[in-house]
Amino acid sequence: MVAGLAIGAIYGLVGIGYTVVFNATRVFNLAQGDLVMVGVMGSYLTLVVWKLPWVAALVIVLAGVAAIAAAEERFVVRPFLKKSGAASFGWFIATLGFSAVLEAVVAILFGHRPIVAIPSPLSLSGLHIGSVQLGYRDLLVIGTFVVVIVILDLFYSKSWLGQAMRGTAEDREAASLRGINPISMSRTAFIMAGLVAAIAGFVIAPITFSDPNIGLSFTLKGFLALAIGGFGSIRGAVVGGLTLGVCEQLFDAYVSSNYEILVGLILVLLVLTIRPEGLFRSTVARTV
Amino acid sequence: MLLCKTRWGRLVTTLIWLAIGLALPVVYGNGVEKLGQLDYILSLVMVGIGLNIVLGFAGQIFLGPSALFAAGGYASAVAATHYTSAQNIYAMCLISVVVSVILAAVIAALTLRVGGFYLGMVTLFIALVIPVVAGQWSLTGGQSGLSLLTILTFTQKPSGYALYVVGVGIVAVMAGFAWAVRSSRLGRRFGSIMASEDLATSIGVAPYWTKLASFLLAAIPIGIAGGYYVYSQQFISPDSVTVQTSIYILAGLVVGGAGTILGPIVGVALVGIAIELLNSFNQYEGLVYGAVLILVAILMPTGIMGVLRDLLARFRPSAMAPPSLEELAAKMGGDTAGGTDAADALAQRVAPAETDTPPLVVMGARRRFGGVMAVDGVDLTVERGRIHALVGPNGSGKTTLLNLITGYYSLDGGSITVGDKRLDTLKGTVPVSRMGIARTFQTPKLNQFETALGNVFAGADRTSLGPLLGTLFHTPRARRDDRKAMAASFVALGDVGLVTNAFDMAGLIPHGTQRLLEIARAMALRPMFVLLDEPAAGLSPAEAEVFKDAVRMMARAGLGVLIVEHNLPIVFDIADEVTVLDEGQVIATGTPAEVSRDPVVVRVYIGRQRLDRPGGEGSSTATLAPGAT
Repeated sequence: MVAGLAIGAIYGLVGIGYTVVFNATRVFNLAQGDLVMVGVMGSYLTLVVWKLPWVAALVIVLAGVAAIAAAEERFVVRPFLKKSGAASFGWFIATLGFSAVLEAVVAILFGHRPIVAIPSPLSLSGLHIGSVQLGYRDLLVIGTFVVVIVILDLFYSKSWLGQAMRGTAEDREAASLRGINPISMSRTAFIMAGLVAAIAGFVIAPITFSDPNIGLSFTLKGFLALAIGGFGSIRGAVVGGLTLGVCEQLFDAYVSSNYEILVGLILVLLVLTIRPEGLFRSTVARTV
Repeated sequence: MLLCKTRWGRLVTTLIWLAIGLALPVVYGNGVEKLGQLDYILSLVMVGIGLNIVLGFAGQIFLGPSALFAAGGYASAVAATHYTSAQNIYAMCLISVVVSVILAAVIAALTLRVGGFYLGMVTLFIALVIPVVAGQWSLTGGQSGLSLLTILTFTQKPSGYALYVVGVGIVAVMAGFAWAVRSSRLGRRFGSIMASEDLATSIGVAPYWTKLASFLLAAIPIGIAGGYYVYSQQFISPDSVTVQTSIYILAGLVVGGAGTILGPIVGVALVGIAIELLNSFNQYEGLVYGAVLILVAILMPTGIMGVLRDLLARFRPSAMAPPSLEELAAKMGGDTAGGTDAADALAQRVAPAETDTPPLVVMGARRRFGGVMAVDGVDLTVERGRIHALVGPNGSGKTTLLNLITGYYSLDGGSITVGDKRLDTLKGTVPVSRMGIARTFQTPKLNQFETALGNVFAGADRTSLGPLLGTLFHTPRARRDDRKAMAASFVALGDVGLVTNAFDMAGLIPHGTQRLLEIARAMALRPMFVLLDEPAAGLSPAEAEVFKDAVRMMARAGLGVLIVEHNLPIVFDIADEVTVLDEGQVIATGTPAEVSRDPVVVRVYIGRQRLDRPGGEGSSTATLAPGAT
C-alpha cells in the first residue's frame, strides 16, 4: 500500500509536470517522462560516478534538468506557439522527437554502463507500525510529493505569476494585451516542469535504479494519471497518480504482476466510459 | 497527390512510381536478407497508408497503429499455426484485416469520445500494452513469439522477389484505396471534421460516426500489413511490434507529408530504409530520428510531398491550376455555372419542405451559466420569408440564444419548436442542422485547406450513411449526386458573388469574404432557417452590399433569417423585425423604425457608452444629446 502510494506519487509528479506546462501553453510535453529519466540518470552521474555530496548533486540535477527543459521550450516548442497557439499538433511530433533525442543521448552516454542501484541517505528499512512496514525511501517520495503539491497550489492561487500563467493559456493575445509576456510565461512553465522532473528523478533514483529506458513508461503513466484524475488541475494529477499507483500494487499482490500494465488501461477506459472529463474536472462551457 | 492533372499524366506518374518501387531491390540489394528487409519496410508502408487515413485525412491523433498491426499479425500467425488452410498469403491477410478492423472498432468506440492528444496518448498506450500481453500469453508464443518456420506444412509461395512484387502491388492498390477515400464524400467529411468539429456538426456531419469510419477504413491497410508481415518474415514476436514501430511510422508519415497520397509511402519507406541502414550504429539511430522529427515538424510541416507540391505550384503553375469554370460546366453537362436564370436558381434554393412550413418559435428560453442568467425567458418568432434581427449590447445573450436554438447548449427552461417539432429535445447540433436550421459563426469556421467551392460543397452534401459508403467506390449514383451538389454549390457561391473565387483556398481569402463564404455554405444546406452570427463584422462597403442582397434573396426564397448583429445601420436597413435583448431579457420588439425610437432601447444603448467614460456616471439626462458634456 505504501509502496503503491510512492509509485503513485511518481506518476503524480510526472502528471504535475504535464499540467504545469499545459496550463501555460496548452502544449502536452511528451518529453516530460524523459526529463524525469534524465533526473534519475543525473543522480547516477553525480552520486555514483562523480561521488558528490547530496546537496551538490541535488543542485546540479535541478539546474541541469531545468536547463534542458528551457532549451526544449526555446528550440522545440516555441516555434509552434508563435504560429498558431497550440492548435496544430506539430508540437506533438516535435516533443516526441525531443524525447527520442533525450533517450538516445542518455543511451549513448550511459548505455554501456551497468544498471546499478543509486545510493540513498536513507536506509532500506523503515518504520514499523504494527505489522505494516513503511519504507523510508517510499516515505521520502510521498513527502516530496506533498511538498511539491503545496508549493504549486500556493503558486497558482496566491502569486501574480501563477495567475498570469493560467491567463496566458486561456487567451494568449488577451494576456499579452494586459502586459503579460507569453514567451516568458511558457519559458517559466517549462523551467518549473523541469524542476519538478528533477526532484522526482532525484528522489526516485534509489527505487528505480539507473535505467535509461524508463522515460517512455513515465511519460505514459503520467498521462494515464491525468486521464484518470482529469486534465488541467494539480488535484487531478495527484488523485489520478495515487489511484493508479495503488491499483497497480494491489493488482500485483492479488492477481499477477505479469499483466500489471493492463491496470492503467482498464482504469482509463473505465473513467472514459463513466466520466470522460476525468474524476476532477469541472465541466467547462464550450464557446463558439 | 500524383503531381499531375491530366489523365495521361497521372497514368505516367503512377507507372514511374511503380517502376521505382519494383526496381528498388536493384539499388538496395536483392539477397534474401535484403529482400526480407524490404518486405518489412513494405508492411510498414502499408501501415503508414492506413495511419494517413485517420491522421492525415480525418485529423484524429491516433498514435497506436502498431496495436492494430500487431493484433492482425498475431491473429494470422496463430491461424496459420493451427490450420493448414490458413497457410497462404490471402487467408493470412484476410484474417489479419478482420481482426484489425474489429480491434479498431473497439478502440474507436472506447476512445473517440475524447479527442486531440488525449486520443493520441490512449492509443499509444494500447500500442504499448499489446506486445506486453502477447509476451505473456501462451497462445501467442510468449516472449519468443510464433515462427512459421517450425510448421512443416507451411511453404512460402510466392517468395523472394515475387513476394516483394506482390507487396509493391498491395501498396499500389492501397494507395488507390486511400485516393478513393479522400476524394469521396466521406473523405470530404473527414476534412470537415479535421477543420473543426463545430463546423462539421453545423452542416449535419456527426463527428462520432465519421471518426469511427476513418478508424475502420484505416484498419484495412494496417490489417493487410499484419498478414503480409507475418507471411514474408515467417515470424512475429513482441519485439517486432513494439510501440517504437508506431513512432517510426508516425515519423515517416510526418516526413513524407500527412494528408497526401504519396506522403506515407515515400516517408515511411525513407524512414524504414534509414533505420535498416543505421542499425549498425544502433545508439545513434534514436538521435538521428528524433532530430529529424523535430526539424521536419518545425521547418517542413507539410512534409516532403507538401514541399514538392508547393514547388511545382510555383514553377509550373499550369500543372496545379484549377479547371476553368467553362471546363467544369462542360464536364457537368452545362447545367450549372453561376445561376444566371434567376427564377430557376431561386427555385433551387427553396427548401424541400416548401414555403408554408410553420415559423421557428422560441418560448420562454432560459439558460444559466453558473450564477449568471445568460438567457432569461426569451420569446422569439422567426417567420419564413422574413428577416429577423437580434440586437443588444455585448453579453446580452444573443449568441447564447443562437447556440440554444442550434442545440449547442441545452435549455434550462422553455421550448424551441418548428410547428409541432421540438428542437430543444433533440440531442446536440447535428439533428437540429438536419431539421433545416443552418448557421454561421462569429469567427468564420472554414476548412482552410479546401477551396471555397470545396467548403460550400461540404454543406451541399446531404448523403446518409449507407450511400455514403457507396461513394467510396465512386458509383454512377455517387457521381450523379456529386454533380448535383456541385451545381447547388455554384448557385450558393453565385448568391454571395464568389463564383470567381471558387478555386481559391479558403484560408487565403480575406476575412470579410470568408463570412460571405460561410453564408454560401449555410445556403448550400438548403435550410428552412438560417441563423447568422455577426455576419457583417469586417465586411467592406462593397461586400456589405453583396451581403444585404444575399440576405434579402434568402428571405425572398422563403427562408426565415435570424441575424445577430452589432452593425445597426445594416440591421435596420434589411430587417423586417427587430428584437432587442439586454441582460438575457427581451426589452423591445418591433419594426426597425419602432425599435430605434423606443426610449428603453435608447437608454440601454447610449447609457452603456456613458458608463464606459471616466466620470460619466450620474448625468443620465445629458446622454441623449451627443457632445453635451
